[in-house]
Amino acid sequence: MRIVSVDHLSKTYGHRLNRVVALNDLSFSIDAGEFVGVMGPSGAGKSTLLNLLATFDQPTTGDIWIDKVDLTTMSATSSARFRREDLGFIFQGFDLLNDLTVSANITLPLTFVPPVPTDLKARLVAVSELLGLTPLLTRYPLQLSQGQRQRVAAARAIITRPKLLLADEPTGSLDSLAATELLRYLAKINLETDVTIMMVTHDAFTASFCNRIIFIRDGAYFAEVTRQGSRQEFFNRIIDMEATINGGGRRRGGLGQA
Amino acid sequence: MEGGGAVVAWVKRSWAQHAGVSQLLATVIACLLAVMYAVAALIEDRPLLRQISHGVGNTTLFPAALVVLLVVMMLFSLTFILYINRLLLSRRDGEFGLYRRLGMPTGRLGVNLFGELLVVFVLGWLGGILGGILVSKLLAMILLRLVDVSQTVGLLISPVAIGELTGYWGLVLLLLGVLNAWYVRGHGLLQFWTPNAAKKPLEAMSGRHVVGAVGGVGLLGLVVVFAQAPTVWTSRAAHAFGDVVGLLGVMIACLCAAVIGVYLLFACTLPVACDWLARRRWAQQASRYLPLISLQRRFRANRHSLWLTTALTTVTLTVIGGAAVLYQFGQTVVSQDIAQPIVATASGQSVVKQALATTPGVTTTQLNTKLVAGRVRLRLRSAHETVEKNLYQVVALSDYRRLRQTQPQLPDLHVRGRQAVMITAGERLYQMRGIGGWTNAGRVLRLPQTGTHFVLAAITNGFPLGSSGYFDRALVVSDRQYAQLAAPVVPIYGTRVRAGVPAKVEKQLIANTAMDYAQSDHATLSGHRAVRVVAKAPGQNDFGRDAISLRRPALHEMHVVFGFVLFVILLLGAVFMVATASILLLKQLVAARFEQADRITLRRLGMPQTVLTKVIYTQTMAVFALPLLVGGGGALILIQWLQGALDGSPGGVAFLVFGIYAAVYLVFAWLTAMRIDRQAQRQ
Repeated sequence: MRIVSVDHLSKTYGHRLNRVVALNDLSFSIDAGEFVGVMGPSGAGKSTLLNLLATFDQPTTGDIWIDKVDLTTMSATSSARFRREDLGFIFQGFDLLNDLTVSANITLPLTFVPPVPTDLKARLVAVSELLGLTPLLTRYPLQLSQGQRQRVAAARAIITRPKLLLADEPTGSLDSLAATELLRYLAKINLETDVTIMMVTHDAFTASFCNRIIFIRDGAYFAEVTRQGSRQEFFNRIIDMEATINGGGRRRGGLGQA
Repeated sequence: MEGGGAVVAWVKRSWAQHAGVSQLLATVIACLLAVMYAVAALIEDRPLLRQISHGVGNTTLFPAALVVLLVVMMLFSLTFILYINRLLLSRRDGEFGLYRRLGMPTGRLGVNLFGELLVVFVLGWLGGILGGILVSKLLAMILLRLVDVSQTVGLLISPVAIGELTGYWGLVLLLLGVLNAWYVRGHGLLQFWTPNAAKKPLEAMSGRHVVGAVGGVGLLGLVVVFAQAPTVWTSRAAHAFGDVVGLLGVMIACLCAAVIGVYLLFACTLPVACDWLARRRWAQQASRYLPLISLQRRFRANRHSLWLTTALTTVTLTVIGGAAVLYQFGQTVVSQDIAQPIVATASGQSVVKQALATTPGVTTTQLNTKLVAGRVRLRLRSAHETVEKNLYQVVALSDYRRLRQTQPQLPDLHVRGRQAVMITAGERLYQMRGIGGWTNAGRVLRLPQTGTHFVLAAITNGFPLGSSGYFDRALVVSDRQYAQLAAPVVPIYGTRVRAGVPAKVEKQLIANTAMDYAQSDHATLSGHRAVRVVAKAPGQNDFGRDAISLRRPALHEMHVVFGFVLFVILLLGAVFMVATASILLLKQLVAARFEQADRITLRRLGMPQTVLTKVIYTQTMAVFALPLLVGGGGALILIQWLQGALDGSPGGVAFLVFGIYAAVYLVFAWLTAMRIDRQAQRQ
């Protein structure tokens, strides 16, 4: 079943005399349960795409459909409800509230509007166990390691049982060990909860945890690579595509680098 | 030239970056300057002040008082601007650190900051002088109204006042420039951002906090209990430890308990209460627990400024409330003293009658009293008992009730048999309600000369026709007892004129300074000699009363004195209030800046704007309301104590002033919340 459908999407910033085209007639789709990565060089429009999918911004032209809902015609109130109920977010900077305990941070989106779900505690227990956060629930974000904080963000993203989880460079602030651990948890979430994940990254190693990578360049669709075979093979193909998109060769590394 | 261009470029960039705060600082300076200008212009308007001073016959008192007010305002403004400047500088530590790391010399940074300040001060000066000229007329009108002077007044334009205040604010600007340059000179290169409370996790509530919370409530509870009957506790302390040690000790202990109690309230009690509330099921929704969590952080980071603003609120409200109580007390005293436009004794009434012979619409009320000496043992406020010998003018109950119809503030009295109600100006010395309260009901009052006695049913302070017609105390007894009392009749007359007492007659009556006297020697008070009323004082300690008392001139004199005091205090209170509210406003804006990221996260996660607005308004209003409520509570206690000391003076004007203060304060809170909310909506 198709969960995301992006159709001839364009986004232009600036005025008539100083225009920047961030997205240019971009089209692609994502099926339910996929773990999709979006890659591209700096300035390719990855973050713009994520902002539009997250309803943080509105496209200039084109359509975005998520689970048969057209995001381009949504009011501010509807988009807030949509973000709250149907989307989950993991940001590069974690975006946790430092004054709230881990458990309060995780359950935060469920408490925005009444009624608070009666199974709040059960959901908290389930996501904490899934992400190994049970012993940390009473702590505050500033008392956690970077990797732990990003796992808290992941738990917060999935506690609402979203249709789509959007991750914006989720490993960008983590060291390699913490990044690997988080990516394993994301893969586990994708497998165990069947949530669809779309992750923006510029890192091939991070991208190798996905099932499919969509490459964009200059705001337009460039190519895509689907995982077949081992993760090492997938990683190598991503590197090759990166080299192609950048217009030059690149020395292949191994997954052992992590 | 290059240096000047760089400063201009810096000022432009800085203005664009910190427009909100710069405009706010300029507005605060303009407000302070406007009030200061209005006072300075009043001081310079000698003819106006002479006209006001006319009522009290001292032409130097009022200008001197206004000069003192202006100096206090100057000192306070300086302290306040220094505090605000430091607050605004510290929020830009990250910016200064960046410029320093990029190689900007500290001298250049100091010059640039001075350029910024210069722009803010010039704007504030322009707004302040223009506003001051407009406000000066309003203030002059208020002053004239308060001191009961009918005179028209225009805008007060005083070049001298402008020059003086420009000099003062110029010096403040230079001082700030030097301090700012000194501040950036000592700025570390590695200072990336202000160390703030948001970077530390919230402290978990511990046993220490709970003990502090209970201690805070306990100390404030003690203060409240003490305030219910201060005289009882001070008397007991004086009894136990001696007058000086006991009185001073209990007052200092009470002050310490209030100061420490309020600190513990913000440091422990309220954080513990917020923590407890946030854990309740009621607070599961974000719109409820987020303000509670935010408040906890404010209590941790801003407990000192909350304590300070609470203290300022208490002082300000007490001072302006006290002035309002005194103003009303002055009027009440006159009304209690002279209940009708003219009150005269028998000797004075003939003069009044003659003066008003051709005036139409004259109504005269006569009250007959019988003058006796009496002795009674009474319990005093200090818990001691004493035998008091006084003169009493005895009034029949029916006469009292007849006069009560035209003097409704007199309490309704009931006496039976040998019961009597004593009327005295110092009612609160002899009875009190509430904790440690007592009365002197049931005490036996003996009239030695007649050999009779009465049992006190109550004590009041409302004299029929006003206390000016009495030598000392009054006694209300039943008509039968009055008729049986063998004592000289001393009448009192109250006169009303339908169209008011003509000015000419008033002038003529004021000129009459005749008095009546009654002997108060041992023989008379002991009943060995009958009480006699004479025109000349027979001895030094005799009781006297004015033969003629006029209410309007007395009221005018009260208006001039207490109205002027109220005017001065209101102005000072307004400056204090603006300062207190501005401190909270700026602190809130600084705190809101650190919370920007949290609000963006909340919106990204799907919090509806309405809920976010509710959270912002709740936490902002709470931070403003707490010092107002706690400080207002403290002020209320002190005002009640003052009212008690003034024999139960009414406090209607004080409560009106409290209401205006609270309203202005809440407008500041609302403006702050609106500004933070607008910022949040723009993000």
